[in-house]
Amino acid sequence: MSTVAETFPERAALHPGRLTRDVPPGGLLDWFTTVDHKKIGIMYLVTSAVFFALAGLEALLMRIQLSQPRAEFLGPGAYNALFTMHGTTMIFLAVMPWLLGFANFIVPLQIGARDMAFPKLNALSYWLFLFGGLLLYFSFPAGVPPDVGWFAYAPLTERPYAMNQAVDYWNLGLLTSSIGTILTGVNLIATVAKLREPGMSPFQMPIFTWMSLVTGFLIIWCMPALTAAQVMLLFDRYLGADFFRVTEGGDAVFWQHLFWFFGHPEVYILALPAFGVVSEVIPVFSRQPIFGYKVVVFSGIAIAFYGFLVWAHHMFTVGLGMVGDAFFGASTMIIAVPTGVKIFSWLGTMWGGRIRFTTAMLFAVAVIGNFTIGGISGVHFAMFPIDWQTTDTYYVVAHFHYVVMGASLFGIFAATYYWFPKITGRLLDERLGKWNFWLIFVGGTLTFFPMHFVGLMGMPRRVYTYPDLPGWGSINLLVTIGAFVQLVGVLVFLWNIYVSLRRGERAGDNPWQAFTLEWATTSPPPAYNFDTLPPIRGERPLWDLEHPDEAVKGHDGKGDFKPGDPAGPSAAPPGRSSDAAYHAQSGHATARWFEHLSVPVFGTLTFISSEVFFFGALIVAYILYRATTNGGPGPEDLDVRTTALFSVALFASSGTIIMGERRLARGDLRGFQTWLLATIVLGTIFILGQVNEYRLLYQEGVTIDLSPFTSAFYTLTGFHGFHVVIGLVALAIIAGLSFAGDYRHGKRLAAVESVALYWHFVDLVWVVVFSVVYLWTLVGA
Amino acid sequence: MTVDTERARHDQPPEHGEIHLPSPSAWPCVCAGGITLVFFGILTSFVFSVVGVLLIALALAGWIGELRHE
Repeated sequence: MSTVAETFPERAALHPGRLTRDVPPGGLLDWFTTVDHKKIGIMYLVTSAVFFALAGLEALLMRIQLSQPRAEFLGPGAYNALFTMHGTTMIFLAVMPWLLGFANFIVPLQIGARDMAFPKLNALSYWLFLFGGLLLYFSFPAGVPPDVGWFAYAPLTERPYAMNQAVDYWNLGLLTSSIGTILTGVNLIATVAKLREPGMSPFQMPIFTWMSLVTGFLIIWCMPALTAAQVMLLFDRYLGADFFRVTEGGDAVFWQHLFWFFGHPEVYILALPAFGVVSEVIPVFSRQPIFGYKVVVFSGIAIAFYGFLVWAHHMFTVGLGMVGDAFFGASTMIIAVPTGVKIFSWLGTMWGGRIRFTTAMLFAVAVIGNFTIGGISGVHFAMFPIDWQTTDTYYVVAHFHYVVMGASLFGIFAATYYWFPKITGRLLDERLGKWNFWLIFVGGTLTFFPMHFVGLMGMPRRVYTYPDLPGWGSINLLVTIGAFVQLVGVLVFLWNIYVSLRRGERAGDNPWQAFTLEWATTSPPPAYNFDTLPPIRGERPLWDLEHPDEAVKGHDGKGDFKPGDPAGPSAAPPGRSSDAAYHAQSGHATARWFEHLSVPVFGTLTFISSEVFFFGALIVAYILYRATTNGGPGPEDLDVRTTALFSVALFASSGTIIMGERRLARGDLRGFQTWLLATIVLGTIFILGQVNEYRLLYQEGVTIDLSPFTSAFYTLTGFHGFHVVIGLVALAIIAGLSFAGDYRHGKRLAAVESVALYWHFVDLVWVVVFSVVYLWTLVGA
Repeated sequence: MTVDTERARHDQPPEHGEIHLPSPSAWPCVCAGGITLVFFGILTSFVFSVVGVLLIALALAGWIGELRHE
């Protein structure tokens, strides 16, 4: 295969003459200080694999206990801790970060970028993930492993039922890692939107990049609901708030709503990147373009959209009422359509192709089968009378393991075999790979398929032992045997990595004759990723490079593309190649509104959209609880007039910062500093006003633990105040730097613009909060 | 940092044939350690939380210092 430089010698001029980067410290310290997306990606992959091993070990201990009726290997307390930590670890610390690790390594390469949009933020995300995981696991040496299940239903998590710190380790460990995950979501979106090779249009992006982008949006919009719920739980447990305390008027079901508003999109955070992997692997090993490129993309977007509308199907047994049941049943059935479409796209891609059953392909094909089984049992739950019968049985356990293990984890294995050569420069051994696949496939099927039967027989999940009912013992033994077969499969996988790293076959740049840009550089790629990039004329730039005539024919529907395949016509016309765009920043023909924004401003806007969901959850909590005063003070006792006065200061500060920005744009640094200081003064007046309001309320005995109303009031206004303080610190830093001589001659304006945007957002939130909390009391007064 | 990354990507060919990649930094790790200690302090002793806040402040100062010189 000819190299990019050989085919396009003029592009060899893009080779960086000199790479400037401070010399990284060598050895172990390098890993602590790296901001290279590839190294951070590898750190994610290795850390996730370690947590996966821990979670797998926990599962094996449970399976030993369940291998026969009335076993006494584990007691009920230990069993509760093990299933809680197994689920929590697999979801938050293994499968999700494993997929994000691949996104970290591969997405910038697939779009021809040199790094993530925010490399240091990327490092921060990783360390928060690792430290959050360590904090969670510190619960073991502390002697209080969490034991409330991975969705930690209230009121079981409240003080009277959970007196020790087990819940708090779960809560704060996940809170730490969730902050990192949200920042990763922001980073992924900004990277794909802003750092894409200028010649690559959105519908020329590889599907894995598309699915990582969609996953980024899922993360930033659903995780804040969990964060808000965790903050409420923390306040319940440490400050005596009443959010989920039923005895004090709180609502335990509200936890379920918040949790599953996060929890169901989380399933797609685990599934969509795996679908992206399958959509990369199957075309390459079928030697065909993906069948229905745009359909695959839009079905992914549709899955994400509907993912936000189905959360209460986890709650059918709560008693939502017929309207709720019908809505969430119907929306759940609808979501099966775009997921089904993907299955047919993958089958259509393989149809008539020259299929090579490498290990990566075997795992990808198995995803299709496993996900079909997991998807169909998912549709069963959409029919809520069936859900009422099967809820909390092993039928549910079988269903979600077919999705998370059968689809997501198999996707991770496929990704490992597919991208290992790119990451390490060496191929994994295919013979060991086949052993790896068949052991995992047979073991997984043996483990999870019989669970459907024992579930329909009525065996409940999360119970540490069971009576010797007909069939239960033998099926459970089979399940346990399957789990140990999987263990052997995982050991073969680890052995394969070990031997391949030492003496695996050299991979070369593109061992699979794959189509996308990550294969257009060396294996492993250099620090700066690319010497040269081929022109982008479709979603398979490397295939186009190899087959210039065929590529044109393909776009006409006569070549490798299938008739009617939307992939062909979507490809950019040859004239709009990356050659021209690469040399001219303005060469992007389809300028979108966000393309005029700087990277920091775009990132700030993305983060703000995440904050909207966080405040949304707090505002919903306030609306839910504003009338639940337990006979104590209510919203009508708030001092609207005084609050209105200091609110004016905050609203005015949006104007002053705009004035400051205008002065800065005109080069008037002194004027900028004056308006900036005015903004800080106005913001401080607001905060002092709020502190005074709290002081007066506390003097009157209106404390956070008085009622659900006071809990929601202090949490909502307090978190807004916290954001104002953060904004003030940021403004003070900007002011300090400007006095130190920064921002002269239009330098680093993006920092000022980003902080100003954040400040406007904080103001806007207060418009809503002030209306809902204070002005509402005047209506009908 | 980010502006430089963007420039490295888009302003091709790079000035004087240079590509500037963001330099290694320990501050993200220190900052994450600080945030974690704040939460760990809730579980154990407020001393950890205070140390955590100080680490966050130190990391931000170092981080911003690096941004200004890249």
